[in-house]
Amino acid sequence: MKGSSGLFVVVLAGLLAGGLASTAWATDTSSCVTCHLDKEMLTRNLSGTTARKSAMQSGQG
Amino acid sequence: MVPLEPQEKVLLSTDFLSTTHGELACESCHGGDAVSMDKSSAHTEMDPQPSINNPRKACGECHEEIVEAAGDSLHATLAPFTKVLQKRATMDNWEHVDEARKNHCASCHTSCGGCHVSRPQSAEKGFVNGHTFQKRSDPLNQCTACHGSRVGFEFYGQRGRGDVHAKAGMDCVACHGAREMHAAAPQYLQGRYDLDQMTRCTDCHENLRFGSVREHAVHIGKVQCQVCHSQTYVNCYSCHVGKDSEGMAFFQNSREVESMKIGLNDDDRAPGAGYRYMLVRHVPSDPEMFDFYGKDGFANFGKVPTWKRTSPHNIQRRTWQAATCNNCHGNRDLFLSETDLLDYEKEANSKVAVSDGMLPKAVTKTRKLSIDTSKVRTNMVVDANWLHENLEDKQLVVIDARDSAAYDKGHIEGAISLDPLTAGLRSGADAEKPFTLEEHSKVAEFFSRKGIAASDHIVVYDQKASTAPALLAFLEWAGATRVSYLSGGVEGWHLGGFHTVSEPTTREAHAFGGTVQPAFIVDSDTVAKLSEKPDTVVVDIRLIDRTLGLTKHELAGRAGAIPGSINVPFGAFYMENGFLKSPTELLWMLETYGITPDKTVITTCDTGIAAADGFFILRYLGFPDVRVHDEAWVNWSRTR
Ligand code: HEC
Repeated sequence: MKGSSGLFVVVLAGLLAGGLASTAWATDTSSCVTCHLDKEMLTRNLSGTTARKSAMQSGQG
Repeated sequence: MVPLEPQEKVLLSTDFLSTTHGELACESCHGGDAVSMDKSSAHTEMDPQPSINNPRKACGECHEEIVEAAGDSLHATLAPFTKVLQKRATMDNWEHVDEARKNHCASCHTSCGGCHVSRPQSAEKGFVNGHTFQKRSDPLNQCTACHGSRVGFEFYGQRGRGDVHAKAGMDCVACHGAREMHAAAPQYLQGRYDLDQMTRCTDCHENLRFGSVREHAVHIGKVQCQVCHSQTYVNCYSCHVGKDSEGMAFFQNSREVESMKIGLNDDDRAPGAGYRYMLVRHVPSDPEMFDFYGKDGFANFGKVPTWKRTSPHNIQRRTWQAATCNNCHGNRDLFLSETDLLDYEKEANSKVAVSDGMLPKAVTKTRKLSIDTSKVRTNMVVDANWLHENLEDKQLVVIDARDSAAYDKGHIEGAISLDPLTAGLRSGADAEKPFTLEEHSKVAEFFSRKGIAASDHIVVYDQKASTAPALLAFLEWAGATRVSYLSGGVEGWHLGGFHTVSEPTTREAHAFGGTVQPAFIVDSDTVAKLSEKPDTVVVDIRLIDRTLGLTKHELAGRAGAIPGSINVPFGAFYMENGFLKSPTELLWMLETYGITPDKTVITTCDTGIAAADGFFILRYLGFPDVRVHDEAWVNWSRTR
């Protein structure tokens, strides 16, 4: 019994580690994260359309 | 709020990835294709604002209760706003009023993301902290990004002296917590003050009636707290909306005036609002506001006041209107009167205006204020009428201290253009000591080239009392002996009924002359030495967020303030449109900070301009020993 529960713990730990690692892996390879963590890549990919205010606007909102 | 580059707006921080939200896959909230490295395909079906477009899924799966309630919160629905418009409109014209509302007013709402992760949409978005979610909204990047002019300016001292709560380091959430912010507003709610969960002064300041302040016992139940504890605030007039030739929506607010009016409480049903007198703020409504969408939108304009209950965020323990009984009692100007009302708003405000009969009577037994105004140098300030009458005077030099674009658009006839920020009177941003005054010989030579003599009567004006008083300070330092500030600047000129011209004026060069007044300018070493003396006070004229270290000038070595300095923010010195408060009020206000003429007063700020503005006011008030710390915080913080 002792041995098998030990084995269970090891397996569980392995599963947990694998689970965590795979979440981390998922984020690592998310293209969203890769690009959005990289200022230069973002800059290269800017669409160039910045929010503008109408030139007619005046006064405090 | 520091502007963000477009790439900075969407730049994640690595720290975010190890937060609870960071461990979720991006697409679980935003959708999109998280495999593609090509932006446009990655962004296909990507939701830029999931908490606005799909809050139940994006946020509600974990924060179900909050999302359910907050979906009906005032921030999300702006429901009382619609209610007011419905009252002013009729069934026949509601359709076009509602279209205008959607296009122009409804864009100001926010949802979870605009308070907890990014700057709100109407403030052009951008992560506040690399997409890390914050329980507590950021007062400078989030709350005042929308509630800027009416709250942020007043809270941090851009208009008025700022708020004691700000000075105590309290942020917006300190008063306006989740209970209030997330509360669902009931359907029947008429106005935001009716919300049960709305924060009230008495939530913290309990049992005032039985406290040690006699005035509380006398006034409680009769006046709203703010009547005694607020300062002047901005009132807007006559907003009109439209769309430009490119179809972009715009609004035009025709006038903004800093003032204060006490009105009658026309609606005491709101919880905790059983008082008779309250502060009222002019809202920018106008019967023709939405005419771009159709005429007669507000057929029932008279049904809702345009002077509305207000709770300015510029609370002080001691205020000018409450400095003595008769600053308020019997002071007709302070109470909204029939004559303050525009023709189209008389009916709307009939229950709010204070008739002579309702004016609290002046009292006979009252504390007298003893403010000595005998030293005030009254000739250092002129008004538009005086200037108009004296424009032909050969000894008079009029200087427009706004930027050259403003000068080119229209200036007072005969005025020369001299913007002290760009004229070269100070070192540049890249200098070893940025923004410090140049040598006297160089400055004097510059004035000579401009045709200004130290013995001339020099009148300087601007738009909002920032560059003109500073230039006057530099002129006095250089040796000018007769300098005056045009109270109200170019706006005061227009209000006086006078016109501006666009043809530029130049003067023939001649020697400036003048004897430099070296004592008027002090460097950081001198400030450090003098500030240890008990008869010296260092007055820091920056906004409260700067002195608290919440923000810093981009060239400063760090955030903070000179040890021992007293913070009197810029708005304390000047009214927003460049008008001056009365010398009595200014002297009284300074005394509340312990700033009195028997002291050596050193003014400081970030780059020396606001410090010079403060210098001018203190000189005008007759302080005998005033000095400008032109090195200011930008230089102090680099070496100390
Ligand atoms: C190759 C780079 C790149 C990839 C990959 C990418 N983005 Fe972006 N994203 C950008 C850039 C650049 C912007 C700034 C806006 C612009 O210029 O288009 C942006 C903007 C955004 C915005 C803000 C949009 C707005 O209107 O405020 C969101 C949200 C966003 N991205 C989410 C994602 C998600 C989710 C993914 C993955 C499914 C992703 N992005 C993948 C480059 C990328």
